[in-house]
Amino acid sequence: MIFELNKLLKSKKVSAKELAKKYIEAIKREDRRLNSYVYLSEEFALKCAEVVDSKLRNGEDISILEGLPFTLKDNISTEGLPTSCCSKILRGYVPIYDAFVWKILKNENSVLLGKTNMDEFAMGSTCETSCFGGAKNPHNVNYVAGGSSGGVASAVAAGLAVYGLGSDTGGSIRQPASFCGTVGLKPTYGAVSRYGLVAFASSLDQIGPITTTVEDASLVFDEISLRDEQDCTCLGAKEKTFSHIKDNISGIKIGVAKEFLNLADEDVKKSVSLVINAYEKMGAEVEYISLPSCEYALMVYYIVACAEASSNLGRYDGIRYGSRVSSYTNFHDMICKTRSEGFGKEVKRRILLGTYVLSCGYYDAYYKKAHMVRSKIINEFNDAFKCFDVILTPTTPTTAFECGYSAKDPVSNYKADICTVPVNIAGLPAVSVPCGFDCKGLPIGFQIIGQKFHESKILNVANKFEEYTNACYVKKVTGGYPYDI
Amino acid sequence: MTREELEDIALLCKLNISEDEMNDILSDMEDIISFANKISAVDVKDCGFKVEDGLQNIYRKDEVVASFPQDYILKNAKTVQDGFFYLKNGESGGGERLDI
Repeated sequence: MIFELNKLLKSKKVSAKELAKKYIEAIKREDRRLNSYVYLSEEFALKCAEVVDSKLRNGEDISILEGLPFTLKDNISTEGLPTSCCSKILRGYVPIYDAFVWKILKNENSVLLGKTNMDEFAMGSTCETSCFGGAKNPHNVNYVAGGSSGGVASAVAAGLAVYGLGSDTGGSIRQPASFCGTVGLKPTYGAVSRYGLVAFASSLDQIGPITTTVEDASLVFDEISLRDEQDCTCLGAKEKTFSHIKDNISGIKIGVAKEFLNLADEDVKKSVSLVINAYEKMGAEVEYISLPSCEYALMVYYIVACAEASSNLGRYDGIRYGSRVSSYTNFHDMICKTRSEGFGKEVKRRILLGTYVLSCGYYDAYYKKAHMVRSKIINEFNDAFKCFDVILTPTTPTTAFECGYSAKDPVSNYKADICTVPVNIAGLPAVSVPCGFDCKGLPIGFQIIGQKFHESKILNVANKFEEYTNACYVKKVTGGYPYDI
Repeated sequence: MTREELEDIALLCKLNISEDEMNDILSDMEDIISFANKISAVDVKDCGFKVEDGLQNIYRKDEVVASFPQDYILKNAKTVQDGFFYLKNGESGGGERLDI
């Protein structure tokens, strides 16, 4: 879609302002039922679009993302525009600096439509822990958009943004992308700068795109994956991916992780089997493999992520930014009341758990042990990649949950992330691609996992499936732009 | 996890847990901890305390550069005085200035 819209702008068949207005109209019309946006930056978007139109009028060339309306998850800092992480504690907070990824896109005159809904501080799989209420699935509003980047996935699937950037700590890009029938890329840890991303779990967080096609994901990734000295882990991408997405995949070795497939629902299993058949017909060599340590990835994840979150969220004290209670007796009372009233239930639960596993007497049993198991999982992936180019799994064991699902016990919620979490634990890149629909008409996605910094390979393999199936699983949701024109 | 342990942890986290929340949170924490306990059975001999192998740190030149102006840093604070974050004492109405 990005190429087509870029061509339309360059040929002046549509102006950037007209394009932005179409999207803004669609958001105002459709988002009342979807709740994907939490902040609409209409004035700012039209100003950016005007700059692009002025360049085009002067005969200047524009870059690939220039003038294209897009959205950012509400945990990516935007100077002068609210960034709340969908938490009461940050309601009204306006950052004083831009995230590195937003700075890149801003310099390219990308048109930011607004900030999108998410689970509070990116902690959740449904988007329902948002203080604004959850984003709905455009395929059926009685189902969740997924999480935590549910707002981005919902908006992109409904045609309320050309693309969006989310963040993925344990599946928060890929899972909502799968639930909403969009493409979600979680880059290698260190490929995209985290500067300006509100920290949840710093050794796992990574920013990436949610798009309608693999080609678009490749184009966006190539723009944002630059080395950044402000993030001491950010090397940037090793190469541009777009020139490789059409490479021949005949003879490529695909390992299908059977543990993940066995956990999936029947509808998901059937769709993933069709994906495997398609790859075999394309000349790939497919074999079933076992990754037994991945069974422990969820436990490692909840120990490590909560430990890091408990430290990262220590900064919310009501003094320097964010909300503060109006009545308190002393300094300690003010901080306790502010945090207790400002954080939601899931965030508090994770801060408590993280503090517990880091506390004296439990550190070795939980935190240290979790890191050792993490090493074991990394070694297991490394061994698998000695024999296989990529690993294929379902993105999620089920399709989207019914709204209200997250109110049940937390461990069941956590188990839904089983296919995506190991990827973050090992710092690998992975992409979720739509591959079918269940009996309720809800989208199903599969996941391609690659070696570190091999985004070119996974996007190549993913794109070949999309080409082979003529992108027939990208179901158009009526209402948004440009699907209804 | 006992109630006393949870109260101690909550104090470290600077979180208040009300009586209404206590039982729910205790039960959730117990579920999550017993789930996390499964890693105790994993054999980790030959596994070190390392993560993200193959990555390297990115260093920038050790040069002094301009930081954010002070008024920028104070922009999101609820109360500010003389270029400082300022915290009022709620009960007495007096001031408790925090020079940080």
